[in-house]
Formats: sequence, C-alpha cells, structure tokens
Amino acid sequence: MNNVAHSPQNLIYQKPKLLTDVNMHYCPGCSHATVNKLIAEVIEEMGISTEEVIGVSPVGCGVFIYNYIDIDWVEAAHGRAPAVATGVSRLNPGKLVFTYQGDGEVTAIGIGEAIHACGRGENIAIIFINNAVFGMTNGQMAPTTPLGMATTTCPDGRSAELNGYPLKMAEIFSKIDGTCYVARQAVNTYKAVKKTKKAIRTAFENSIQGKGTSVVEIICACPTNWKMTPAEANQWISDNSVKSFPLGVFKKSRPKF
Amino acid sequence: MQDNEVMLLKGNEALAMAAIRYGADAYFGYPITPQSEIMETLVAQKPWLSTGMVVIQAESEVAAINMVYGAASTGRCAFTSSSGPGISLMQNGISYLAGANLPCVVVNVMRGGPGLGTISPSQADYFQATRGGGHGDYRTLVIAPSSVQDMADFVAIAFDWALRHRNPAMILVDGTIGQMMEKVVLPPFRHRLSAEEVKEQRPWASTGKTTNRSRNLISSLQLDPLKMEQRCLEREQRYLQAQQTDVRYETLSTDDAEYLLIAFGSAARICSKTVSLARAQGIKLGLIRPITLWPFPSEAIKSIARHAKGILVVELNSGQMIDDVRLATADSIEIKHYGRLGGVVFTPDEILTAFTNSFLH
Amino acid sequence: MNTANQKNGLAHQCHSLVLRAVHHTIQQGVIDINTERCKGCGLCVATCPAQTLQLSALVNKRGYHYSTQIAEAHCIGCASCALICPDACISVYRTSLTHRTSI
Repeated sequence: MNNVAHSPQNLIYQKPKLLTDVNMHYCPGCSHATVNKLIAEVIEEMGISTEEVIGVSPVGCGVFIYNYIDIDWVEAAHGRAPAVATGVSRLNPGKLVFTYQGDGEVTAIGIGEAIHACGRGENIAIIFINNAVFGMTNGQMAPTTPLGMATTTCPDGRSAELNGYPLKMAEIFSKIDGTCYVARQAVNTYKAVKKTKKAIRTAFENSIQGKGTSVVEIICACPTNWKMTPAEANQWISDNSVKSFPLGVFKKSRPKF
Repeated sequence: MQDNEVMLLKGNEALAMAAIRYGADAYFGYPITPQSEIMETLVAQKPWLSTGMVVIQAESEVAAINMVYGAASTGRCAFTSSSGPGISLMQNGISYLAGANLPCVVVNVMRGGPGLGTISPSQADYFQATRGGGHGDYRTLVIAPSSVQDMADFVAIAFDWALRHRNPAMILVDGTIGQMMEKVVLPPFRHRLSAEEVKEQRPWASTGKTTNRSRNLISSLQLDPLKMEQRCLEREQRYLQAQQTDVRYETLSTDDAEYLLIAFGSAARICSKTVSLARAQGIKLGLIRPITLWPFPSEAIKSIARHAKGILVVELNSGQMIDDVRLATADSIEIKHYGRLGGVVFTPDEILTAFTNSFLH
Repeated sequence: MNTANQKNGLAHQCHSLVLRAVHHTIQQGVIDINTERCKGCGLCVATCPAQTLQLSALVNKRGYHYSTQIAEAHCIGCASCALICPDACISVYRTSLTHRTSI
C-alpha cells in the first residue's frame, strides 16, 4: 500500500460536485457517461454560478442527462434542441446555453435545426455525441455509420450503394459563417478525454462571451450496440472511427464581414 | 404609440400590434399565406427597441414552435402563427408544449385544405384545433375572432389563459378575418416582465438554478406510469376548471327563437345578417356564436336549444363543429349543416335559402 | 520503481547531484473507488499503465463486478483510470516522494 494521505492537498481528481449521486443509466463503458461527467467538470471549473447555465437535453440515450448534472434543464423534442436553445438563449442573453445531442438528432431528424442555429450564429454550444448508431432504439444505422460497419438495419455493413455515405458534420459546420468554434474529439483514451474537455470548455466560454455557435462533435463508443466490450469499442475507435472521422479543431474563430 | 390608439388595420396587423402591447416576450414564425403580415408587422414595429420583444424568422414551422417551447421553458410569453399546412407541422411541438405544461399562443389563420389546398379562407381546421391535433391526451384553448377588433382583443385573452393554465392556447382565425381591414381600437400597453419578475412569478421556469432551490426541469417525459397518470390527471383538472370558467359565446335574437343558426368566426358574422333577413320575413331565427371553440359552450347551446325546433350549423367546412353541437344537444332536436368549401364564402341570402330548404319546406 | 512506470514514462524521475547524493523524486498515488457506482466496464483496468486494477470476483448491489485495486503499491497517481472512468467512480490522491541515496 502506498503511503499517500487522503488529504485535500493530495487530491488530484474526484467526481465533480455538479454531477449528482444518481447512478447513470448508461450501459457499462458508454461514452455518454464520460461526456456527461466532462460537462459537469467544465461548468464547475469555469467557476460560473449555475444561475448562468441552462442545458437542453435530447431524445435518445442522452435524455436523462438532466438527472445527472445539477443545473436547470429543458428537454427538447427529437432533433429540435438547437431551435429550443435558440428560444432559451434569445430570451436569456449572456447565459451559457448548450444542447446535448446524439447523431440521430444532429445528423438525421434535426440537421435543419442544427445548421440553421449555426447559420444564425446563435450563442449556444452544441455538444454532439457521434457513436455511429441509434443507440436507444437498438443500434440502427445512423447517418454517421461508417461504410462497412454493421448495424441492425445494415447487417451486412453499410454499403455506399444501398445506404449512401456517412455525413461528416464537423466539416460541414466549420463552413458555416455563424460558427465560431468547431472541433471533433473523442473520449476513448485518457488523453482524448483531456482534449475533449478542453474543447467543451472553449465552446462554453464562447457561448457566454456571445461569439457565435460552437460545435463539439465527440466520437463515442456504444459497446452494447457495437457488440464489443467497452475496451474493444474504444480500441475500435482508434483503429477505425478516426479514419472516417478525423479528430481535431476545424475552426477557431468566426470570420469577419 | 399611445394607449387605446384607433387605427385602420388588417386583422393580422391588429393581432401583431396587440401582441406588442400585451408585453409578449417573443415571436417565432415562418411565412405562409394568409398570415405573413403578422411577422412583417412585428418586424416593422421593431419591438426589440421598445419593449424588448424578440422576433425571429425561423427556418420552418417545426423550428418556430420549438423556439416557442424554448422561450416558454424560461417562463416567457412566446407566440407563433401559421396556416393549416404549417400548423400541421407544429402539432408535434404543440403536444410537447402541452405535455411539458408550458404556456404559449399559436395563431392559425386558416386556409382551405387538405394538403396544400388553397389560400382562400376556410374554417376547415376546426377538428385539428379543438381535438388537440397532436398526439396524446391534451386540449388547447381555442378562441375564434370574427372581427379585426377581436383579433386585437383576443391576444390578451389567449395569453392570460395560457399562463393561468400553463397550456398552449390557439387563436383560430378565418383567412377572411386575417386579411380584411377594419377600424380597431388597440388595447393599452401592459408591462413586460423583467428577468427578476419572471423568476419570482414563474418559479417553475428553467431560468438557471439558484442555490435556494433544486434544479428545474421542463419536460414532457415521465416513464413511471403512476406518476405519468398523475400528471395527466392534474392536466385534466385544469381542463375541467377551464370548462367551468372560461367558456365564451354570444347570442343574437335567441330569446324567442324557434330556429337557431350556430356559427363561429366570419360565418357567425355573415349569419347575423341572415338573422335580420329572416326576422324581416317574420321567421323567428336566432344565432349562437361560440367564441371559445374549446371549451365549447355546450351548456349554453343545450339550454337555448331546448325551446328550438331545429338548428342549422353553418361553417366554411364540410361539417366539423356540428359534431359538438350534436353532443351538446344529445341529438334531441333536428340538426342540419350548411357549408361551403375550398375557399368559397357563403352570402347571408344563401344561408337563408339553405335554412328555408332545410326546415320550412 | 516498477518497470511499468519507467516504460510509460509516467513517473517523473529527477536526478540531481547534491554533493555525493542522488535525489529520486517519484510519484505515488492512491485511489478510492466508489464500488457501488461502478458498472464494471473495465476501462480503468485496460487503461492503468501500472496494471494495478482488476475487476473483482464479487459484485456490488447492482450486480456489477466492480473495479478494485490489486497492486496498490504500484499506483503512481496518474489519474488515467479516473479520466477514462465514464461514471466518475474514482478519486485520486497523489504525492511526490523524494529518496536520497548516498553515492
């Protein structure tokens, strides 16, 4: 046993206080939980009052985020979070307003709302969980499913001929003049987790400072629907996902006109 | 702009001016005939410079109603407007607003349908408005103006109702009323609530968690069946309350009436002329105009119709409100329908002929 | 010092000559695992550079084989386990120890 005291000065990591003690419903190893945790950490570390934060939660596996992060929440209809956040943000200028959405939301049913919120340059942050499948409904193909990946609705692997090509949203968002920050990160290694946390913080600071729309796309694992162990799923991201969806910061500031 | 200003305005314009005066916090909309003047009037008035009201042209009706949902979630008075095809797209959002117990006002300036239909006036969305329209167990207050003055006056009634019952309210407008110009006395200015006042008066709103309360959540989701049932029952209680206190209607020459016309909106206005034409011929005809289509003035109709020999329900549709009249009277007397469709508007004489053919031959 | 630490370069090693002595600064850690919150996903086990963790043969109240530290002495307090843990089950304490060796 190491002789390290459990003293405050030695404490270098603990569950953020903003993350409630409610056990998260996510499957073991689900990246949603990791990102929920990071959002709580970032809000806490920014040192802002919860009075200044309003979150907009999605439909899908992420829906219950409102039970895990102890701030005021608005639960939106499937895909409509950026429109809901527009209403919240316009009536509460200066507050940190963010959406938490999956790939069904941002790339399928709600792509219009997401793109137009970016087009208007709404002062919101879009936290976009890209796990390549519709997790909540058993793992059907999403617009983000990479070519070749098998899902319940493309059991032989996504075929370009039958199913078309995956949408690369970070690249699309970065071309819209209203966005001020667009990044794609992952949470499959502890190093990736650190980068994602930094990206979320940048996005949240932009929202408060009224710089425009920030989008953080996060490549996530869905071990249950990918039919892998959590460790295998995270490895699969390193070996495969990042080839279809390269990581990095795609845009750092808003163009001036 | 002063209180009680008299102007010559289109119905749509009057509604927009009244909303600013009410102290509405936000409008989100998407253009569609015959109601586009609402957003155009708002933008021309630049209320963001005077009252602080937000006006946004959304990318779709779906986005517009969800922006309303977002604004309402923070305790704000938001409204949107559209016409049938757009209202159909909004139904999902209206259901979510009702499910999350959020107040808002939706204006439907009706056109003929189904489908793309026609841009001419109609009352074809009665079922959609009064039956909920969207999915799930809910109702909306539905109030039907029949003049430009009503367009100005009903804004406050709809917002007040929505806030009192924490539920969407709908102003159901015939295209004619939206488009026609009349003299209108604009309502007085009301104070638009500050952020602090919203927090104080609407403690349920998600305005940012303070240290003295637990987090607020605006949501229509509840997976526990018993809790969900409780939520639905609480909503039901508010609807029962509304049926007791919020019914509005007006009558014309019903005291001695042997026959009744029942009509709403512009049809009621046309029918009022039919009543005077009939009376001139010695026919004892009266008119009931439901002003709130939900809650429906069932008790009033039941009571007035007790002494009548027959009812002609007159609508610019193929027979929708007639169902509510039959329910109100339990089919105890003869009830017939006269309607014109596709944007055709009937004349007072035409209605009198229809009445005579129905009951006096 | 265990070999895993050196291999991964995670333990900060500092050599400084003071007269005829060498000071080795090494980092030592200790973690607390909230075993009832843990879902036994095993990501911490796979991530730990010093291989100090494994899933317990026992289960918690929710039936998960929770994570447990089996080689506590080797923990360097790098917090990789806590960073990767989706459910924020791990608290990490770390301290630097300096050993003086006469030469």
